Amino acid sequence: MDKWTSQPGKNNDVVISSRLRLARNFTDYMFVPKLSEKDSHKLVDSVISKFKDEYGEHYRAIRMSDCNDITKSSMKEQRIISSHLIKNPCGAVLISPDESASVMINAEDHIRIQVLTNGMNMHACYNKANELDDFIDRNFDYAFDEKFGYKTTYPTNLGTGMRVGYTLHLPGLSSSKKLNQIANEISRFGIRVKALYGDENVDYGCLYQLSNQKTLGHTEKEIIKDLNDIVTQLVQQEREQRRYLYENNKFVSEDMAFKSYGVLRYARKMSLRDSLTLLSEFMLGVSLGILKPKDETICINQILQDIQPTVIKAHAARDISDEETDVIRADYLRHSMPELEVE
Amino acid sequence: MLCEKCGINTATFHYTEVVNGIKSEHHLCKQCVVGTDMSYYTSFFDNDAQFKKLLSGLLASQSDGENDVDSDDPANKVHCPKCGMSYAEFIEDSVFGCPDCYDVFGPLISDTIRKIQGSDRHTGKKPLIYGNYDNSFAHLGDADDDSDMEISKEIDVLQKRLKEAVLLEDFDLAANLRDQISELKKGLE
Repeated sequence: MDKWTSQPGKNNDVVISSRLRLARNFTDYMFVPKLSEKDSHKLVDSVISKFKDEYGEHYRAIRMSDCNDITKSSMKEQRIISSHLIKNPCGAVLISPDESASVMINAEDHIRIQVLTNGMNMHACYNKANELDDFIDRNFDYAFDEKFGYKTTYPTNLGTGMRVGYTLHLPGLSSSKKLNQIANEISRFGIRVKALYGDENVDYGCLYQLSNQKTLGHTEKEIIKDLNDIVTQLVQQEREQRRYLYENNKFVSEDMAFKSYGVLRYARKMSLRDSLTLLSEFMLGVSLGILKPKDETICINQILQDIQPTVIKAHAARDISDEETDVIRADYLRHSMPELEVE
Repeated sequence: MLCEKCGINTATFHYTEVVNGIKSEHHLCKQCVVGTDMSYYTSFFDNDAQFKKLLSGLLASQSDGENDVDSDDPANKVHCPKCGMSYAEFIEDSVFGCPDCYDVFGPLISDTIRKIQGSDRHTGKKPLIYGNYDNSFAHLGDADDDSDMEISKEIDVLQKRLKEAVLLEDFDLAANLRDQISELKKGLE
């Protein structure tokens, strides 16, 4: 089955992916920080067996105790599991065949439902998560309070227990240094902007994550709508900015796009940081129509997963050095780059 | 410059993290970078750590302001009877130990919750047992074929409510629910 990363996505030129997460706990167990080993296993077993009864082998169950460190980190780099789950040997995860939906058991909370989609599609994330939520609800008793909503381990998640986030590619806005100002404005609406890489003057990869900070007091629909409204505006601004930068200095934009493509297509050794920067410039070039790939579909989410260091190490299935990792990454990128219409 | 994490090696890796426009600089050595989450996407998941600091800070400042964690404050005597979590422990870690902690510490932290969340009352989805709440975004094309599925879902919910009614010894309601369930089951056959 095709992975979620190969599905088409709305506003894909700016919005790389959508992710939604629901936190849930059961009434008849202590929360994870106080949960005994015996109860942890009991909880994991009962959830996995209910899924098996309902969905057969559709959801793949993976217990943390069966995984080595490389496998766990590589799942984390692919965003299937969280760092909390890695630390808990009594945890487990259920994964859908396309890897878009996963249910973490005994991570921060008893249940963490997560759904990822390509591009901007939070409604699809929500519908899928909601379906899984209802299924678990029918089989277990959720801890819920009329006032505080779903009871979560962290008071910062209570209420809906829902966190929604978009990963945005913002080369235009970040190069015009408007991003700090925008982030400040957005934070007033309870939305958090986080740059992943960067130093004083430059961002690596120009990838940013926007997510809701507040989980209590608004309905799920309102939370999603608020985030969508902001992201839609940002998408618009980013497109205008890209266009503006290109119109004002065509040679620089074209040179950057082709150079990045050239390096990605021919380099023999690539660090993660260089890869992210070049991929960002390449994607910008494609979105502006400077680069015209023969095959339009570039699964950027898949590439971003596959170039992660531990993912590469897990694939290699043997001990490899950092240098070898860079060589393998370059080789992978070479083969991922599409041919262009006009050279 | 020495690595901020191990304090032994020279920091060769420098990065600035920008969260909501607030910059923080980090300097790490190569070994520690490998151990740190510098890989793509990971930090998105780990929001909680930051909020946690904020929360324990707010909670601590709320409980008196002065540093005397003396036993005079009645709140310090509060323990959760189910999991044994004390109020001091709760402030320190900012995590609940079990569902009952909400009843124990909830009233004490309502104001802080409002500060952080901007509200202290849930308005969203509720578990099925609390009755129907239409929370889905219009599904496409799942009208009739799923009606059997819908009925069996409804039976599950009614059965949960029946269980609860029996526990609460509300036998009138229980009888009523039992009848509804058998009625629905007939429809399935």
